[in-house]
Amino acid sequence: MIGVLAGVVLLVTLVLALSAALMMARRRLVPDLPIAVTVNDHAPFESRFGTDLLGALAAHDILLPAACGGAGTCGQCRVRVRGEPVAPMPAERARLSRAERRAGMHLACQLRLRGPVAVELPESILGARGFDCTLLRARFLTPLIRELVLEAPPDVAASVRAGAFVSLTAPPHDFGFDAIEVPERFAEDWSELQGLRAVTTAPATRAYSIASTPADLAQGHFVLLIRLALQPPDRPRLPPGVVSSWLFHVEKGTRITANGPHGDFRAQTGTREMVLIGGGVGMAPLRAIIHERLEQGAPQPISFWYGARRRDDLFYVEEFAALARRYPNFRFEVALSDPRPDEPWDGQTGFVHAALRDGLLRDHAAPETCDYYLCGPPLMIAAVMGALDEAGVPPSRIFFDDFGS
Amino acid sequence: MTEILLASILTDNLALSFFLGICTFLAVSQRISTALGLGFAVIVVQGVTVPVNALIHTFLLAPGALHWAGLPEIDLSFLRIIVFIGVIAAMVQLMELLLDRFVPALHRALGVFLPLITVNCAILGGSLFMVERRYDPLEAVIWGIGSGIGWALAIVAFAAIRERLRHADMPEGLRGLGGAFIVTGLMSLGFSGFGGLVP
Amino acid sequence: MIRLSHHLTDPLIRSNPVTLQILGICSALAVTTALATALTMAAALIFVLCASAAIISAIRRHIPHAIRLILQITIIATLVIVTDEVLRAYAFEISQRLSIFVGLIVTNCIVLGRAEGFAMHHPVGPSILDALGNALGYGLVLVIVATIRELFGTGRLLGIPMLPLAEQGGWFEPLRVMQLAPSAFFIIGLMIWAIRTARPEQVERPEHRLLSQHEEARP
Repeated sequence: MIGVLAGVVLLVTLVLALSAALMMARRRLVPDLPIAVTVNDHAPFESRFGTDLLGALAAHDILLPAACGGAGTCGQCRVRVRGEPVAPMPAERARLSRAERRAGMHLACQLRLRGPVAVELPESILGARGFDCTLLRARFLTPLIRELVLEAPPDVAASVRAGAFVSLTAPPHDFGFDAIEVPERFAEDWSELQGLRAVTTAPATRAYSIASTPADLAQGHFVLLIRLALQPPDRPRLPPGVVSSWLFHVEKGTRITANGPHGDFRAQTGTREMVLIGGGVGMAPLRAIIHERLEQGAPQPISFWYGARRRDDLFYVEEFAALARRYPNFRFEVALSDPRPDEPWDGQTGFVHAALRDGLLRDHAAPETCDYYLCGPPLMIAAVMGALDEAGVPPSRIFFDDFGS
Repeated sequence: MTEILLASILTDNLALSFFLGICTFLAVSQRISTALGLGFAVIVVQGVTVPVNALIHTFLLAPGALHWAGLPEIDLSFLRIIVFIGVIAAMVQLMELLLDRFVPALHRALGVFLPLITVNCAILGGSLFMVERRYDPLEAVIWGIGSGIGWALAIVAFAAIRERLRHADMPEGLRGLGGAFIVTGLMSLGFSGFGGLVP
Repeated sequence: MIRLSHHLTDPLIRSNPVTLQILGICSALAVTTALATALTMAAALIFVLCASAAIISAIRRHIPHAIRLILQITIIATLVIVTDEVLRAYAFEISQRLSIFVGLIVTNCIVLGRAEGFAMHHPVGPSILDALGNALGYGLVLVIVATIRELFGTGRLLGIPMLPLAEQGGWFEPLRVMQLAPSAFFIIGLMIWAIRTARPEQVERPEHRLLSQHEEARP
């Protein structure tokens, strides 16, 4: 009996002693100092010693994009820190190039506040915030791409520059793909997807580019293009994309939690010729940029090169054809890489980078003087970059949005 | 004393003779730099926790230890597992705080490993062996530091071999984990050659 | 019920905790010199894993997030102490041979991994099945290695002579290497090779590939 009592007393005393020692050590070693954080040239705000910069900024309503939630793997939360360079953390070494690190770039999720710090952020981020939006309507554009029109608060819509993206959060869900309503003409493509199930127990957030025209934005409408993320053919057992599955299932009137606008992919100022190349849902930011520039009365030649596999994968074709008729300086080209033998197609076949090379780069007097905007699947971007490099276009003239991959 | 030191590094190597801490060993030893970091962290943690645990065991847990409190017949040694783990966890946390404050560069390099060390079999194993062999506090210090050095030696040597193996043309089924086991076996065989060194 | 049983069968080969997930090997190797100790160790692990999974799953909704790791370790440590003492009381000889390794179940990655990875998020029934499956997977590897080591190292199995020893007039010369530590590593390495040859999806992808002479590098 005494043994049991002694054992219990000892254990409790030891635990208390250790905890007390740890707490005392923490109080003495980790000073709870206030630290001043300055963003751009605004007045500094106060945070605490030891907080990470991402959290400090978020507590002050400055929401940096962070797809990985602060784990140091996505590389989206990069900021430039002024002043004395701080040694980089291992995660930063993996995501930031040496040139970026020399320029003082850091990942906000890895930087701990130890002294006053001054950071530089794109002003557009300062306008980003969390908000709720309502789904107004949705329609299928291609078998795997759905267009959503969301109603957002007017002040958020007003802060959007063409090319920006928003993050949408899907709540935990559990449904079968047979519950998704698919239009007749895509029923055959969806027959093999009916058996899939979308299950998740935690909320998830993903980023989607805004495809809205200026007219859409004026009404407070965000047009988003969602591609259903499916398992690649060599890894058949991966489940379908968490957020994209939910966005395919969500119905009119649902409120969706969102965050943004983010990103600095946008049209450059000036009158250099603009060449935009896209594939898949890379259409979204490019469409927004094209409408914005044309409506602003941009005088320079603007051409849009879009690549897809089959006829069924094309959308907005009539819209761009109408733009080409209306604006003499706008040119629209489509290339299909794998048209079905039974569908009528008299346009170009092959990959979009080949179409670009033969249709523009080869005969252009000075391709290196144009600005190039790329958005699409990684393989397409790589191929286009190769073609541009061959044509002598310097990297400083190429802008692309690879969705943080 | 030297016998304990030699034994802890060569003949009673925690990793190669008793297979302790292998999980982390195999997962982390892909590169020499990470292995060095982890090895160093283990040496420090082991060098601190084994003596502290020895003191606690001698004066609080061992049979008859509580004679200074007037309770000589009590035997609390059955509590050693839970007490040792608690001490290890607390020491690791303390070490993290100290590093963060005084040597932030080292904290950045080692920071990722410290939580892994808390549940590393080798750390707890070192303390449990210390009890089984009834080392006094001074012997415990030597055993602690020595066993840490032995483990670190094994993991760094192993990382060096693995870096070479990455480009080797191995049968598919052996690539990675299978090859790692065979190499560890060969290293263990090599170390068992030290068997006659310590009487 | 059929759906639940895959929790039980998956960890046996498809995702065996030892050979695929590199877990829990520490104590797996030192006790495999004899089949008796291996079976005892496996039994101890089955008990600790299932009991801890059941308890943690039962109280999972009431655990504050910040202290969950400490709480899990405390529960597991208590179960291990109980197991250790029971073994000392009822199977003293085997407990002596097992030395510190029963105590090391506390730090066995499988136990903590299953607690944090499964029992915290699933109800009691599936948690116990999952724990049982993983413990049996671990036990399977242990028993296979121990059988090979004891049989070819001493000609005995569970102490019962199986192969006629040369020194007693038979033909079997015991392989002394089997009684040394490294043999366990070799056996497990070869087992992994065998499993990955039979199931190529478990093979690790190479980080680089050297181009042969006739291949061109593609951009």
